[in-house]
Amino acid sequence: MRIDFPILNKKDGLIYLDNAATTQKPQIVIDTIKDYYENHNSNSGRSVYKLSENATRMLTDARKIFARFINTESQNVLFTKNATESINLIANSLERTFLFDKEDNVVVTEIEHHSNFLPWQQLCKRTTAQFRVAKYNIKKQDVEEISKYVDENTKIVAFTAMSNVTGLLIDVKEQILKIRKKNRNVIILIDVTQYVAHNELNVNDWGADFVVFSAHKIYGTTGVGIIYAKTKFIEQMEPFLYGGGMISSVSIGRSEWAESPEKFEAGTIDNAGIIASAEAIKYVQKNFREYMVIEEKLKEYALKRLKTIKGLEIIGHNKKNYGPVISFKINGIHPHDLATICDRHNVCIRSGHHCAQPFMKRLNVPATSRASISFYNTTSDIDGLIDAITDAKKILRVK
Amino acid sequence: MDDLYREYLLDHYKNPKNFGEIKNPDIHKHDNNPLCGDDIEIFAKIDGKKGKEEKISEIKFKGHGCVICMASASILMDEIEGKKLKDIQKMQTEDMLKLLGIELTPARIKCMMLPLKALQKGMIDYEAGK
Repeated sequence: MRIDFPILNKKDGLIYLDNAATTQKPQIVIDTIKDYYENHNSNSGRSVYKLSENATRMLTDARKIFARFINTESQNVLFTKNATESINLIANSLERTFLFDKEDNVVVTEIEHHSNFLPWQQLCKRTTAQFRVAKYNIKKQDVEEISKYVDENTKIVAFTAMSNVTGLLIDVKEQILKIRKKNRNVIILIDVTQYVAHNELNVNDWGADFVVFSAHKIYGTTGVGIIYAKTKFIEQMEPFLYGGGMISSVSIGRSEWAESPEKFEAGTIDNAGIIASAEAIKYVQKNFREYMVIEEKLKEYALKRLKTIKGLEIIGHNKKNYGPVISFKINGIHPHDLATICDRHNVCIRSGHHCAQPFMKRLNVPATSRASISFYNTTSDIDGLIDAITDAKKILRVK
Repeated sequence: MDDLYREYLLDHYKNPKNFGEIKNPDIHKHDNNPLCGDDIEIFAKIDGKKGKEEKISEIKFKGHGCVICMASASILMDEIEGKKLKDIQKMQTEDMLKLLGIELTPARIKCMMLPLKALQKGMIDYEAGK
């Protein structure tokens, strides 16, 4: 567990509570990168010599590991550089494949990360389609029924399974059923970037058309994004990026595309990162349920301790349907000052708008402080955070 | 424990000088730091012969933000009342660090610079006759 993460075992006693931004990497991931460049480096899928064929095989195996992890087949898994690129790819490819006009609409929610908001907002701007945003209800502390915004002209619905700001979990299966009841042709994308490290995922069970996430939020490397796409979209969709490795033939007048996944993976992809990230998946898979229990307990402990601090208000977490991400505000202390003072205690927390400005506006806060938990955290990490907050109150003379 | 949250900076934060509004200002600029949510609105009156001799005769600000941003605004307003526009336009990061008497990491320099940047933008608008 914690012992497997070199950065957490140095003498400086780092307390890392910004796991929603990125997770730390276990030794096996770091070793795999080193091993790849020392022993296997070559361009996959391009050449006939042994080294390249071996790199191709390693990439194929990695794809299989990701596919199994989310309960799908390898041919339904595409690699990008992050979840942001995954969503941009899907938005642009759909736009190139299907006609959108002013009669159509696209639905997202107010709690989306900008990466699942802007690609759709901009698609609507370019195509004159209507951009609909399902509201967050402050009183209920939940997103309104998404299907309320869906009608026969809805082309796409995109929403997160877990908020990166408050940790709110959305009942994806139930929402998809309701959306499909209103319009069974609607294309549905689920952003599991926050969800994937804390919940088991079965894309078949959900029935979404697309599911996206970044490997670095689940102990993998940066530079690796994942797309799950239903077969019919893999087959029908136009590519997003054009270039090397994605064609079957090119001439001056016209070009033909390669089969998927190559069609969607133009240019040299991050082989080392993908192969190392697959090791991260294998690593967490071994004890995933146990980790979920640990994180739930740590979340409850953190909530209990945070609630004892006078003037501290936790956003959300009024019900059980929350992941281990906690946003809060403290009367008289700006989140940036809190994060700076926490840093003096070697406690890493996030402060700011968390790339979710529409959500922040609805919550009527310019910024929040956010502590996000992983299974490798401990109750003493939480105690360290509480000590740092107490110290911040003292330094800033807040009672 | 650290010089970032020294008494005098906290005093400026808790009781900022020149906090408020000016009616019919010559300069009025609203600016923010989207990353951290610092938000500031600057109001100023200009005095003196049009051109190189123009001075800030009165300046006030409103807004919310972290200690660094708010103390920086308070100290800056205090410093520049009566100063010539052309001299204020020349001010840079080093001048602000010197005024505040602290050292800052790059992320926090943005907090400190927001008030000055807003004022400088407001002065450009003013000179352009906006």
